[in-house]
Amino acid sequence: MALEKDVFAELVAIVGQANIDDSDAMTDVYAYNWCMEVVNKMEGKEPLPYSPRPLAVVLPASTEEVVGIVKTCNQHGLTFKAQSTGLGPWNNPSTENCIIVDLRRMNKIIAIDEESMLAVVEPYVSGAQLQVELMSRGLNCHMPGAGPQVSPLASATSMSGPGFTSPSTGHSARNVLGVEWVLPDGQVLKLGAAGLEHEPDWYSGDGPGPSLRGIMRGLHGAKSGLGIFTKVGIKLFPFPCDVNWNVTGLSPDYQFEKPDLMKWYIVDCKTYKRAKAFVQRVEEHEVAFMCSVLSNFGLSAIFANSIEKLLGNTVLAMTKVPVVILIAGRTKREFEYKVKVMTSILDEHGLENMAGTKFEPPSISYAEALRSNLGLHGFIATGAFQSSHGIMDTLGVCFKATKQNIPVKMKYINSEQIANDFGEAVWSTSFEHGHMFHAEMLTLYDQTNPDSVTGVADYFNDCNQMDLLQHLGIPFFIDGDERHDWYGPSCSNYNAWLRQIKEALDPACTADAGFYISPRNSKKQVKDKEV
Amino acid sequence: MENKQGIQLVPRGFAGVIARQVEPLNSSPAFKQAFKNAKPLRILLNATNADHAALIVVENGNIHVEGIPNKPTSNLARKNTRWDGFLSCTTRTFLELALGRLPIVKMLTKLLSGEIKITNIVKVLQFQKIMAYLA
Repeated sequence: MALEKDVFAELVAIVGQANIDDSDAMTDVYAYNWCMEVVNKMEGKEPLPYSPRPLAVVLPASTEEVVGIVKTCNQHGLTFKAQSTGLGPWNNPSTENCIIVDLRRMNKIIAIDEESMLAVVEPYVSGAQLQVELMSRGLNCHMPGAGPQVSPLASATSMSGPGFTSPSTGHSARNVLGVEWVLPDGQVLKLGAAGLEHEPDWYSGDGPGPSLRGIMRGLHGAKSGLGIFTKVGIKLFPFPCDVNWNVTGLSPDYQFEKPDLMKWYIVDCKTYKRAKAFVQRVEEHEVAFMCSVLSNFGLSAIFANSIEKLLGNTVLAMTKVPVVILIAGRTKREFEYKVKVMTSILDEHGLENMAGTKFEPPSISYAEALRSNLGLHGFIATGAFQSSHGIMDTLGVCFKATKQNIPVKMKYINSEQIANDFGEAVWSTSFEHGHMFHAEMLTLYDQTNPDSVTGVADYFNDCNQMDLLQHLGIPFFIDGDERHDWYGPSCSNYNAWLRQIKEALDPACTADAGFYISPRNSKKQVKDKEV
Repeated sequence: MENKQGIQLVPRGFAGVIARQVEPLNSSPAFKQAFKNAKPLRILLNATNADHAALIVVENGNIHVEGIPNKPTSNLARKNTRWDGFLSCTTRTFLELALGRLPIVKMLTKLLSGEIKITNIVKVLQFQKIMAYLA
């Protein structure tokens, strides 16, 4: 398919000639994404890392331009897919009748309100950019597990958003305040305090009237299926320690002179039962800046930035059910208190800290933990990884899923389709010091090997099935019509409600519904499926 | 880098992995002290699904690994590599053994079925003692 010339001209009039491209070279690039091959395979297609190619890519620079693009799409029966920093298949079109709205020109930090502890950002501001600005003010933001390179706006409005610092910074759904939202018909809606007639501000995401936050994003976000978010207010936190970093060296072997008031705890709990008791106690005392339950290989990976270093972390690889905790203090007194609490809890559970005794964490690991930059280590061993499940519940449920997942995963390890991690790979963290817990099971695979991709896709389908049958919540990969309609009847028919939301806001299905849900009898969707 | 016999002087692959694990022992004073005056020890670990076996040599309180091409199988003969102990299995089983993830019953089953082959078990177990210095 090609974009008609008159439509192209209309879009040029909105964004300018330099900010639109429909060439094969450009649109092919936008059809590629990490993990697209797994999504394709899960949908019964060839395991290739490409989505349908978009008709064109447009780069708006303002909310007004976004509105113009959305209205043009409505006028000409096109769909649109918005992306901010663009990581993952959720940013790709699901039909061939789609244009990509790449928001990279909307890259400004609009405001940092130190007193109210909130920041207002545009879509292409990365977590790292925002954090740097916040650090100079002694503040910090929640950073999703995807890493500091991704967009806080996208995570807050449209994705799941657990992160390594979740014990102290919550998750994206909890940190979103006021938003500016271009609806699928081109209307601009301001939610929360941003929508107030008098003295509009960003301090609240709710009201006036009933809150629309649940409709806007729910648990895992609509992934551009309900329009385009152009500004968001997000909650901030105090930076947990000294903000003066002294970093030397070259990527990836930076050396980081860590401030005095930070300490790693690496604890080999050996059993899930022991880990549960230990983690719950730590979170009860609210001392951890970061607290994650990992597997032995996951632990080895977060302290390595090359395969050589990964293989050298033998001591870590010999652990079973390890827990890794970072504590940090803004004052010596605060830090000493936290150390004291940790010492007491370790004694109480007969556990010991391996950090500084059996294993010396590299200095950069402190900086990476502060910046939530540990997720990228998942790519070291095989070049590709993805998570299944995505539980948000109690720690008991998270561990139940972790244990039950082992035999499911071993089937694919035994067939040599995915990497051998003894089936135990997991990342589990608390939200807000144990208010809730999150667990996702990581899988390493070979993106270039169709058999490996097939294995991951089949395994993920098994994981989804397991979550449904064992009542483990709605996992990450339940999106799109087919899977929502599979899960919904077992979960209070939520799919019917979700579809009603889509129908109310986007009856013509102008916002690409591939990773959300489409309205009933959507001609556009039917037509595109036939294509 | 290989010599004329195809022995990897800078081991790669499976032998490289083993080298990565054991070579930090060269900076362990406790290991050096324990093996300073010990009789030299040569243990050959052959991963059946890899190209090179790993010959671990402990001598004068130092440890190093050589990569030995495992085909033809005569390369692994005792007279050629002068090993004191020999262990052969798949890389996966090596991983399970090394990380303590192979229960005794499973290990015995693998021994009986020939999935794990050991010659001179006493010497091979000495390797386990050596690895303990890493912890």
